[in-house]
Amino acid sequence: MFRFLLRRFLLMIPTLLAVSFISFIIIELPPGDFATAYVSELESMGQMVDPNMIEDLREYYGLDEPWHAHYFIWLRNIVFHGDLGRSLMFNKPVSRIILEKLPWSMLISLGSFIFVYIVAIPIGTFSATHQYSIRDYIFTFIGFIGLAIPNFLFALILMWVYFIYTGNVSVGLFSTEFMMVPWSLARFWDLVKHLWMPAVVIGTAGTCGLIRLMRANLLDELQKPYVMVAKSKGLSKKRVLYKYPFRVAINPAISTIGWMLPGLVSGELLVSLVLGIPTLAPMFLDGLKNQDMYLAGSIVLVLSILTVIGTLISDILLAWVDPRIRESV
Amino acid sequence: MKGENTMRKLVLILLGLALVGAFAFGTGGQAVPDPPPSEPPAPSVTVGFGLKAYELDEFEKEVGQKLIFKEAPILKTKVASGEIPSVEKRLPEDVLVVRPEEEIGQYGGTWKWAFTKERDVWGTHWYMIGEYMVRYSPDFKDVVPNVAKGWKVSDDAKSVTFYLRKGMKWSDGDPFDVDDVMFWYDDVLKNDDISPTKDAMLMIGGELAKFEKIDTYTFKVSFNQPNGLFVEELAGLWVPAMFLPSHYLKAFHPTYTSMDKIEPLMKEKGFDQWRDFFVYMSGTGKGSFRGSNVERPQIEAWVPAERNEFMQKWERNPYYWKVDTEGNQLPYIDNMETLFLGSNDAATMKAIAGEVSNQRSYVTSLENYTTFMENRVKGDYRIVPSLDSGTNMCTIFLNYSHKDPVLKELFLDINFRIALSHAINRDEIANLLYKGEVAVSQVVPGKLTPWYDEGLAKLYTEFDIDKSNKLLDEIGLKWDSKHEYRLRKDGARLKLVNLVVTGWPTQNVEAQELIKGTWKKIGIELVNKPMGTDVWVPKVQSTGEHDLAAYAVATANAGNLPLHGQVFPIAVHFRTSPQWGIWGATGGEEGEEPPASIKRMYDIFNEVRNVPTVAERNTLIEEAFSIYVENLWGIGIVQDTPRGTYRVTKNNFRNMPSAVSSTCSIYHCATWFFKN
Repeated sequence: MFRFLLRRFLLMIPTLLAVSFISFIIIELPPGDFATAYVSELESMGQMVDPNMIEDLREYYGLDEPWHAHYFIWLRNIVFHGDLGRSLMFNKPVSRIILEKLPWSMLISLGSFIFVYIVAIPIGTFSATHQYSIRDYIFTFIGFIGLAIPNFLFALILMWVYFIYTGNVSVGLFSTEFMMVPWSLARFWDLVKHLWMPAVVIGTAGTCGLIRLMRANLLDELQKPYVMVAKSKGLSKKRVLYKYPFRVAINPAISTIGWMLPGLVSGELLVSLVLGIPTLAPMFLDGLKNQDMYLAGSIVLVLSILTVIGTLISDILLAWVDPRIRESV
Repeated sequence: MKGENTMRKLVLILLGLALVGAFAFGTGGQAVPDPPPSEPPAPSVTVGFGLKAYELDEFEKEVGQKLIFKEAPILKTKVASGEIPSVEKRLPEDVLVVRPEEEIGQYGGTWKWAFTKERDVWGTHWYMIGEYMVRYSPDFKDVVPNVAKGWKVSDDAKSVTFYLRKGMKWSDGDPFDVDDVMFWYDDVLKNDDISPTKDAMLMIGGELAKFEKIDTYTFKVSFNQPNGLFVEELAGLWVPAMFLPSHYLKAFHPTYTSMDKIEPLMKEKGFDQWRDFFVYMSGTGKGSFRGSNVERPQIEAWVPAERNEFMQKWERNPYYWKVDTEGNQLPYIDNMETLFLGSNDAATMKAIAGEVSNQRSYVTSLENYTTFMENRVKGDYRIVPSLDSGTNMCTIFLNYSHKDPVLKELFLDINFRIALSHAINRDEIANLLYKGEVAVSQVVPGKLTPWYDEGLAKLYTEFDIDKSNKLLDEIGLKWDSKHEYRLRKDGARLKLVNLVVTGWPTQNVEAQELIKGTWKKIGIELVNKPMGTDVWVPKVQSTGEHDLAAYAVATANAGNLPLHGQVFPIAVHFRTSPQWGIWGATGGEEGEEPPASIKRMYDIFNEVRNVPTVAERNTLIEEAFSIYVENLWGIGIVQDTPRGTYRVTKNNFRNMPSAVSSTCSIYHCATWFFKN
C-alpha cells in the first residue's frame, strides 16, 4: 500500500510540471502581451490612450523578455520561495488572489457535488427497482436533458426565468446587504439561497452519469441468486435492498469521485462566469484575456493540483476496497 | 385500465415539460421590436446646461448676499459628537459654488454600481468623480477652474501660474496646498522608478516642465518654449495627477523615511518591490488607480471606505470643497456601493432589474440596447445617451505609396476617391449594422467639440451610383467587354484588395462586405481580407503592397484636442499614409514626400501650439479638417454612436444632463441626487 501511494505521489510531479509548462505556452501564445492587451481594453472602452503607455508598461513589467524566461523565473520562485508571482493586472501577489477566491470555488464545487449525490443515488436506486416503468423513463429523460444542455446556457436560462418570475436577480453569492457583514445565521441562509442555482446547474450535468451507473450496478445485483433467496426467506423488500445489493452497487459510485472532480471544477468555472460569482473563474478569464501570465498560469496550476489530488484520492479509495489493484502494483 | 392511467400521466408530464421548455426559450429569444423610444433621436439631442460653477466671491456679488453653509444630516451628527469640525471650518475660503443642472437636490441615498471586477473602480475615478486642476465647461467651449481656482498664462506663453483654493482640505482634514503638488513633481514625476516615462503634455521641446512653488497656494509651471495649449490639455481626459497627499505618502517614500521603516509596511501589504508598493499606496503610476488604496486621503466627493472581494463601499467626503447655490455642501448622495460581479451578464441583469443607479461601463452596449429599452418601465430607469466618441469607424484608407504606378496614380486622383465615396451606401450600413444609432459621417471631430462642421461631416456621403460612374468615366476607366468590371489604364481588371481589421470596430468586416456589393455597381471588384491588428499594422505600415486598408480613426472626443498622429502626418500611425507620417516624424529625411495639402496639415500641427488665442487655434484645427475631408484623405463611413455607450439611469436620479460625454467629471456629479 505504501509503495503504491509513493509511486502515485511521485507521478504527480511530472504531471503537474507538464501541465504548467503547456498551459504557460498557451497563455503566451497569442500575439501581444499584457501591455498591448491592457491598452486595447482601454481603447475598446472608447478611451484615448497615450501612445507611450505600451512602452512604459513593457519596461515596467519586464515584458520584453521571452516567454521561457518568464516561465523559469515563475517556476523557480514557486519551488524555492513558494511564491506564485505577482499579478500584473491587480498589482497584488497571485497567492493572495487565489486564497481569496479559491474557498468560494471549492464551496460551489462541493455544493454541486452534494447535489449530485443527493439527487442521483435515490433516483438511480428508484430507476433500478422500477425498471422500465414510466417514472424510470422520465427520470432518465430529465437526466439526459441535464447532460445535454450546456452549463452556461442552462445558467442563463435559469437566471432569466428566475428574474421573470420573481423580479429578483440572483447573481453572486450574497445579497448586497450581506456582502460586508460578519458571519451569522442570516448570512449563511442568504448564501444558501444564492448557492442553489450554481449547484443545480453544475450538478445536473453530473447527475445523469451517476444515475445510470447506480441503476446499472443495482440491476446487476438485484438479479443475483442471493437476493432471490433473501426474498424467499421472507425478508422485507426494503431490508433486502438496503442491506445487500445497495451497498455493493454504491461502491463504484464512490470510486468515481476522482474523475468527477475535474468536471465539477471546470463546470464551476463556466457557470460562475455567467452567474457572476466571484470565484477563481472571472479572475482566470481576466488573466487570460489580459495576458497576465503569472495569474493565469498559477490558477491553471492550482486547479491541476486539485484535480490530481482528486484522482489520487479515488485511486486510494479503489486500492482500499479492491485488493486486486493493491496487489498488482 | 392501469396502462391507460400511466399513459395519461406521461402525456401530462411531457406536455408540462414542453411548456417549460417553450417558456424558457421563448423569453430568452424574445426579440419583438419595442415601440420607438420616446426620447429624441440621437443626432439632434439638445443638452440644456443649467449647470454652472462660480467662485464664491463672484457668486455672492451676483446674488448680492452672503451664502450660509449647510451640511448633510449624517455630518451634522458627526459634528455634534465632535468627530469633525463644523461645516464652516471644513470648507475652504475659496469654495466653489455649483448651480445644479435642474434643481437644488436632497441629501441622502446610495449610488449603486454593478462592475465586473475590482479593477473597474478605476473607471469611476477617471470619468466620474475624479477631480482635476481644471476642467472643460459642460459645453466644452471653455476651460473652467476646478481644483485650481484660477491661472495666468505668461505673455510669452512659456509659463502658467496656478492658484489653489485657500483652506482646501484632504478627506482626512489635512490642508491641501502647493506642497502636495511639489511632492508629486519632485518625488513621483521626477522619480524614474515610479515614472519611467513622462506625460507627453509635460515634455515640451524634449524637456520636462519645471514646477516652482511661489507660496502656499501658488505655483508656476514653465516650459522651455511657448506652450499655449497647456491649460486646455490639462482640461482633457488623460492628464497627470498633479497632486498627491504628501502628508500621508511621505511615510512611504525613501526621501523622507528610511527604508528600514518602509520595509515592514511593504511586507504587511504583500509587496517585495518598493515601486509596486508606492504605486499602490499612492494610486498613481501605471497599472494602478486612485481608489486602489482605501486608506489614501482623497479630495473627491466620495472616498473609498471598506472593500472585500464582493463589493466596495464609499462614503461622503466631509471636507468636499464645493457647495450648491443655496450653500448646501456637496455631494447630495451619501454613499456609493460598487459590486464586483465577475461577469458582464450578471452586471447587465442587475441593471435591467433596476438595481443600478447610474452607470455606463460594462453593462451598456449596442447589442444590449433593445433589452434595456424593453425593460425600462419595469426597471424604472431611463437611457441617457453618450454624445461623444469622435472616432470614425470602418474608415477606408487608400495606399498612396503603392508600388504599382497605375494604382498609385489612380489613388492620388481626387475624383477617384470622390467616386468611391459616393458609391458607398452609408445609410444601409448604419441601419443594418448599427440599428440606425450612428451618424453617417466623414472623418471629422466629434459632435460636442467646437470644431464639428455638419457640412464637412456629410460631404460626399450621399449614395449616388450615377455620379460615381460619371466621375469614373471622366477619369477614363473603361468597362470590360461584358460591362461587368472597369479596366485599369494597363487593361487589367480594376481589382482592389482591402485589408480589414477584425475585432474592433465590431461591424468592420460586415460593413466592407456591404461596400463590396455597392462598388460592384461602379465596376470595381473589392476583395476583403479580414485580419487582426497585429497583422494589419505591420502590413499597412511597412509594405507598400496593399491597395486599401479599413479600420477606424480617432479624431477628437469632446475634451480632447485632435492633435495626434492618427489625423496629422507626424508619426508612422498616420492612418492616411504611414509613409507620409514617417516623412513628418523625421522632418522630411525619411518616408515619402506628401502632396502640398498634407504638408499644410503638417505645418498646422506645428503652428497650433504657438498661436496665442483659442479662436486662432480653432481656425487652424478647422482648416486642417477641411483639408482632410475635402481631399478625402480617409473615406469616412460612420461616426458617433450615442446608443453605443449610453448610461442606464434611474428615473429619480436627477440633475444629470440629458445627454453626456464620457468625460463625466466635467458635470460635477456631486450635484446628482435621488429625488423623493
